[in-house]
This record gives sequence, C-alpha cells and structure tokens, in this order.
Amino acid sequence: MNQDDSGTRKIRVAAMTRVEGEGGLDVRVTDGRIEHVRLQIFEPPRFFEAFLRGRPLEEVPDITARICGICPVAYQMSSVHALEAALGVEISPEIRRLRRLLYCGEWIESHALHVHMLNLPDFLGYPGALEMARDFPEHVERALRLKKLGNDMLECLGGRAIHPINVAVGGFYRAPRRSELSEFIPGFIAGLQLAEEATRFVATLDFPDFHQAYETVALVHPDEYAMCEGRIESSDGLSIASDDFGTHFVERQVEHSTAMQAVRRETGEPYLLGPLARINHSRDRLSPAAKRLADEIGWETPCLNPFRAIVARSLELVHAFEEALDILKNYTPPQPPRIAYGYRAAAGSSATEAPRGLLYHRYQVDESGKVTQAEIVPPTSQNQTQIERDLRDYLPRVITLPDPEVAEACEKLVRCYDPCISCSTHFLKVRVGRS
Amino acid sequence: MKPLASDQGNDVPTLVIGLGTPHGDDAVGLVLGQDLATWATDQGWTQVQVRSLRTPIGILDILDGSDRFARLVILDACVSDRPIGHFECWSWPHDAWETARCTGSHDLALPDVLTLAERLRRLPRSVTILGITIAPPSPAAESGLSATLQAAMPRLLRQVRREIMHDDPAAVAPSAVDSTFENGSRT
Repeated sequence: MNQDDSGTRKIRVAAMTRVEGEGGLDVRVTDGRIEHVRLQIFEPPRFFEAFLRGRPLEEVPDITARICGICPVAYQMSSVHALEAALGVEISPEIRRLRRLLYCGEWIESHALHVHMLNLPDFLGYPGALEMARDFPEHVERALRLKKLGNDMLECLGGRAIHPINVAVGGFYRAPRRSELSEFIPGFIAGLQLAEEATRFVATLDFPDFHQAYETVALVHPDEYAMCEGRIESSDGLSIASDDFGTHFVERQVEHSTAMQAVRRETGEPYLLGPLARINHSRDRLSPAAKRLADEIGWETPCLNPFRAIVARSLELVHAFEEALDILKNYTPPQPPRIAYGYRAAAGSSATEAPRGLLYHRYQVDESGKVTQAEIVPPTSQNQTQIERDLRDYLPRVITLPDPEVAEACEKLVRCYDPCISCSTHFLKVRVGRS
Repeated sequence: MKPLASDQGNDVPTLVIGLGTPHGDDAVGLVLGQDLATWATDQGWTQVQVRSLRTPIGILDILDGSDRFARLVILDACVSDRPIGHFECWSWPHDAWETARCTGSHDLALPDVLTLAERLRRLPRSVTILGITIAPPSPAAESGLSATLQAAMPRLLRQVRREIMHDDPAAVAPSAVDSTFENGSRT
C-alpha cells in the first residue's frame, strides 16, 4: 500500500488503457474516507469551435468529423442538422434514411469494438483483447467481422471509413446506387446474427451489484429509436427541443480537467448519457429483433447499473443491424442527393445520439454563409461528472483492496462508459492519495 | 515469371502492405507500395498484391481468410537513430518490437496487430517488416515526401524489390539486382 507519513494513501495508474484519449484519475483517501475523486483530463484543448469561426458553413461537417476517428459521423450529423435548422433546409425522407444508415454504420463499428475489444476483457479477466484472443478467439473474430461491416458501410456512404467526406449540409455529395447498397445485405444478415449471439453471451456475464440514482438523458423520437432527431428527455421529467439545451444544461470549467464538465443547470447535478439511457427511454422503439432479445435475456428497464452498459450496447448493435437491413432492402437513391439552400444570418442547433451519448451542436452563421459562432458539447464531457460520482460511490466497495486492484476496479468502471476523452477536449492515469 | 515460394503447393502471392498517412515522410510506406505495384505491373509480375493502409488494424481485415498468402511484407516509416532514408529489415517475430506500442487506444500498434493475427491463425508463415527511417513526424508536415527521401526513393525501391524477391532471384530483373546491400541492415 502506497501511504505517506501523514497517512495519505496514494494509488497511481500511470496510463489507463482501452479508453480513447489521455487523462488520469486522482483519488485521495483520508482515514478511510474518500476525500476527492477527480477525472483528470490533461489532453490539450483542441479549440475546434474557434477553428470554425469564419469558415464557410460547408466546411463544418468535414472539420468537425476530425474531432474523432471513432465517431466522426456523429459530429457530421449534429453539425449538418444544426446548420440546416439555421438555414431552414428541409431534407427529403430518402436523405433522412440514408443518414440513419450512415449512423447505423458508425454505431456498428464503434459498439462492436467497445463491446468485444475494450470492455469484454474486463469481465473475462484479461488485461486486453490481445490476451483474451488466446483463450477466446471467437469473441475477437466476431468483433473484427462486425467492425468491418460497419467500416465498409462508412466507406461506401462516407467515401472513407475514418473521417468521411461525403456528408454535406442538405444531404450527400453523392448518393450510392441501389446495387452498391444491395451488396451489403448478405453481410448484414450475418452481422445481425452475430450481434444477437454477442448480446446473448454478454447478458450471461457477472455484473457487480451496483445501482445508481441516475438522471438519464437521451433523445427521444415518437416513431423510432432516436438517432438524429427528437426531443431531449430526462428521467426526471424534462422534455425539451434541442434549441433549449443551453437553458437546462451547462458546461463548467474545473481545475483538474482540460475538458469542460456538464451538469444540469437547475440542480448542478450530473446526468447519464449513452446506451443505458437510450434504452431506458426508448426500449419500446428498439427494432423487433432487439426488442425480442431484450425480453429473452430478461432486460429490466430502467437499468441503472453502469456495468450492464455492455448489454445495452449489444442490444443497440442488434438494432443498428436490423434497421440498416430495412433501409438497405428498401433503398431508393435520393433525387437530388443534396437539397439546395440559400444563406441567411441565423442560428441553429441540433442534438443527435453519438455511440457514447447525446452530442449537441449550435452554430450561428452570417448572410455570406460564414460561421460566426460554434458550440459543441460532446457526450464524454457531459458524462464526466457522472463518472466521478460513480467512482466516489463505488470506491468504498473496493478501497480495502491493494492499490493495484483499486486502480483496476476504477478503470473497469470508467471503461463501461466507453469514454472518448479525445472528443471531450478530448485517457487516463489514475492516482489515489490516502491519508 | 516464376512465382514466389508457395504454400501447400498453391501459387499464393506475397501480400505487401504500405502503411502510413499522406503527411510528409510518414507517407514513405504508401509511396513505396505504389511504386512497387507500378513496377510489378510493368514487369507483368503477378505474384505480389500491394495494398495501402493508414493504420495497422486494417491488416486484420485483409488477412480475413478470403485470400491466402505465403508471405506478408509491411512497408512502414520508422524513427530511429539512423540517418533519414536508412532501410531496415526485420523478420517477425523480433525482440525489437516488444516495446512498440500504439499512441491511440482505439487502434492497435503494428506488433499488437501481428500478434493478434497470429493468435487468430491469420498470419502468413513468413512476415517481414521493412522500415525506412524518417525524421520524427511533425504536425506541420506538408503533403509529399521530403527532398531527402525523394532522392532516396530509387534506392529504397530496389531494396524493397530485393527483399521481396530474395527467395526467388530468377524473378528479379537483372537491372534490379544490386551487388551490395545499400545503406541498410537486416536484423
């Protein structure tokens, strides 16, 4: 045990693995009491909002896609919807469906990676996917197959799998031919089966009995499992349009993090975003196969155990495949692929559901089509305060363990959030001081 | 031309993967791969398949079993204490790769990808990594290779060809064979 003369116990994890970005965790314990838990994000600020000022609005989807290599589509979707709201652009139903297909591709590649390669090793007792592959090659094989299907879809619709370049304000620069998308159908049928297999397996894992009194927040749509559109709803009764996000949610600067942390404006309390929140709010709008599977595995709603997020994420994987298949089978190329628009001085906002949770964008543009103000609130910066709250509540269960085991337990909990620290500033080193 | 050594009696080509980004000298693996592909086409040499990747994890997708390869050759930029343009050849596995790790956690470093491919029984029998020393990458790098590397490209391409064809000297055009190993090392 690392304890100094004053009795302060210090536990340090130099570099937490299997989360995206760079950061640390600082836990201080005095007389067995947890003094503070700080998620220290020290990845330098990336100033994307400032880069956008003065740029033509057409550049926004491509610039914001650069914020993340895992969820670039989320940034593109939130940005184009916000800009279209500002310009008064109404997209066609065909463009809307093609955007949902693109988003399904991103959910598939991101969720498949996290469920199998980043999160599953924690439950099976391996330091990582590389070690897990020796004993459980089938899980890694499944991950690679699923992820490839997602990536191939992004490449087809987005022009390339990482940082797509085909998303435009008003639609797409080029819509794929029907034959191009039909080729995906056999692979996605197989993918759906693999996703169901993954969900049945992860539902049998041993989960810590840890439940939190979360206020969950997610986009909710009356007719579908929300991805790109809907009202922002919370388990505490909030139901607002995305335009009102700033009235009810606020970002604040904290000394120990280069990422802003978001809380509810009215209460100053944290809230939970992501797959658990989404399923809690929209279970009845999951695709038929995902809904049947949720019933089959006995999924209880609301689920407030962060460790079970791996199951929620897998259910969403099933949903994404099934919805993608529906779109693929009924695809009609949008004509035109991009809706024309004119410039006007206006502001617009949008929230869409990134794989890790709600992603809010707001832009102000001038009459020449230049961005004059941009605001981006990523899911990980919103979840950050809740992660610290979870750690504070979870630590008493593990604090009597040796330091390395405490650190490992903290890492496992944080990983359940699939945090993308690069997005929020945008990894983790854990340091625990005990006195 | 005579094919390379085959697997189980079949004519299985060599897979060459150029790794890198288009930014500055990090593109050297991509450029060498493209030059090799052009040369192979010109020579009518069909026993090599060349692919380009920005990140190593895509190797797992290429080695998904749909094609079988007797040999995998990776072309990649590396940072070392040798001069820019230095050519290094490693056979996998090699101790030198034990400490190489990825900087991005949502990706896997080349040694991890190769280890994973091995554990998933996807790895060809022979794996060679050809590294070209570049200056440490800079965010300010412009597209295209530096003048130093551009000048070294003819030599580097000859060295790549020789490494790929060393099992099959008959396949090498006489002009492509050098009598000495130029500015490089094999470990």
